[in-house]
Parts: sequence; structure tokens; C-alpha cells
Amino acid sequence: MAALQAIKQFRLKELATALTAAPEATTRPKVPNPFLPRKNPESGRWAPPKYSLRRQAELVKLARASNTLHLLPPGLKLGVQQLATAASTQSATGTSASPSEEVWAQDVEWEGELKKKKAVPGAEIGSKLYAGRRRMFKGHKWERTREAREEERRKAMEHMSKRIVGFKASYRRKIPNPASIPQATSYTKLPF
Amino acid sequence: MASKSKARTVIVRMVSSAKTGYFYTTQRLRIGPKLSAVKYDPRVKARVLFMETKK
Repeated sequence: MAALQAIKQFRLKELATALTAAPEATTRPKVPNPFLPRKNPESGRWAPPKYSLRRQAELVKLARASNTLHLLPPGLKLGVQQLATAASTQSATGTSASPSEEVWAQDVEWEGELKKKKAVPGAEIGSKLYAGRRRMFKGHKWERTREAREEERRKAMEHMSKRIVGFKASYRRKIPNPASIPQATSYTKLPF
Repeated sequence: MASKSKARTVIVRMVSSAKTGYFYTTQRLRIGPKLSAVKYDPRVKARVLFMETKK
């Protein structure tokens, strides 16, 4: 309810001049878009929008809550696409509980061009990381060789238990008798 | 000046035969057989035969 009130107030405020000017005009009244900046023709300077981005976002939230999105003008916080879908859903559901009969809910043409947003570089591919690049990351060296290395390990481990058994059976023989450690014989030194 | 005589022991590296690259480092007598033992390899999480290679 409060959301609807807010939107109604917004409309009344913005369309005040348009509504009082030509009540029986068949064409849609033209109203300057308060969500867009405007250029002063004499000074050539740009005036900021009447509603700050913060207020625009709030209005959009309230309109979504009260199903009155089609009554808001397009802006940075509300795209033309979204407005179109909102308008189509509104016409589809008809005038069930919506206030489209009211004066302030008339169809109105908003003046002012909405600047197109720059296309995000990676939008088509689906990831920004590889947007302008020819090659994708081919993985770290250890990632690339991982499978081969693990295969080698697996092969080595296959007969490990057998090898251990064999080793345990034979290793005692191979240790030389500590009593018979040979002297180091040097063939360069003469015995005399 | 007399040349330094060689040490009695030598430091050796025992490498895992499971080809993981894991190794132990020990000493043995210079005059002695090559070391080999069954020791734990954490990369494979099992006891494996380790053979000596030069350090």
C-alpha cells in the first residue's frame, strides 16, 4: 500500500504539467524523463537527473512490490527490456486490481534518450577472463603430467608386497660379517 | 700441508622404489654395502622398499 502511494506521488509530481495542460489530447503527453540527465541548449551544460540513482533504485523497488513498474520511466536502474515485459504482463493481466483507470496512471511518453551501456567484454563467451584472448590456460605442468605420474606410481606399487617379501628374505645375507671387514688396500702405496 | 683424509662415514640418500620422489637421508660406513630398507612413504601412505642412491 505504501509502495503504491509512493509511486502515485511520484507520478502526480512528474506529470503535473502534462496532465493539467491537455486533458482531452488523444496522443500521449510528452514528459521529460526525470531519471535521465538533461542538456541545457543555451549553456550547453548537462544538468544531473532530478532523481539520484539511490532514489531511482528505491522507486524501482517500490514499483516492483506494487506491480506498477510500467508506470516508471526508463533509466539506469530500470532497463527498456524490463519495462516492456512489465507493460506486457500488465496488459495481459488486464485491469484486475491495478489502478490503470486513474489519471496519474495514464500512458505517457518519456522524453530523453537512455545511453546504452558498454557491452561487458566476456558476455558472449560467458566468462570475462578469456574475453579478448586467443588461448585458454592450459593448466600447470604438474596438472598436465599428473595422470602419467600416478600411473607410474600405481605400476610400481602393484608388485611392492612381493618385492618386500623378497627383500626381507635376502637382506640378512647381504650384510657382511663385522668381524671380517677387509682393510682398504691401496695399490699406489708401496709396502716399503 | 697434509691432505685431509676421507671421513669414516658417508651421507647417503635412500629413494623410494614407488617412484614418488620421496627419500630419506642417512649415514653409513664408507666401506660397507649399499643401504636398503623397508620404510614408510607418505606419498603412497604405505611401507615401501627404499634403495640407496648417491647424495
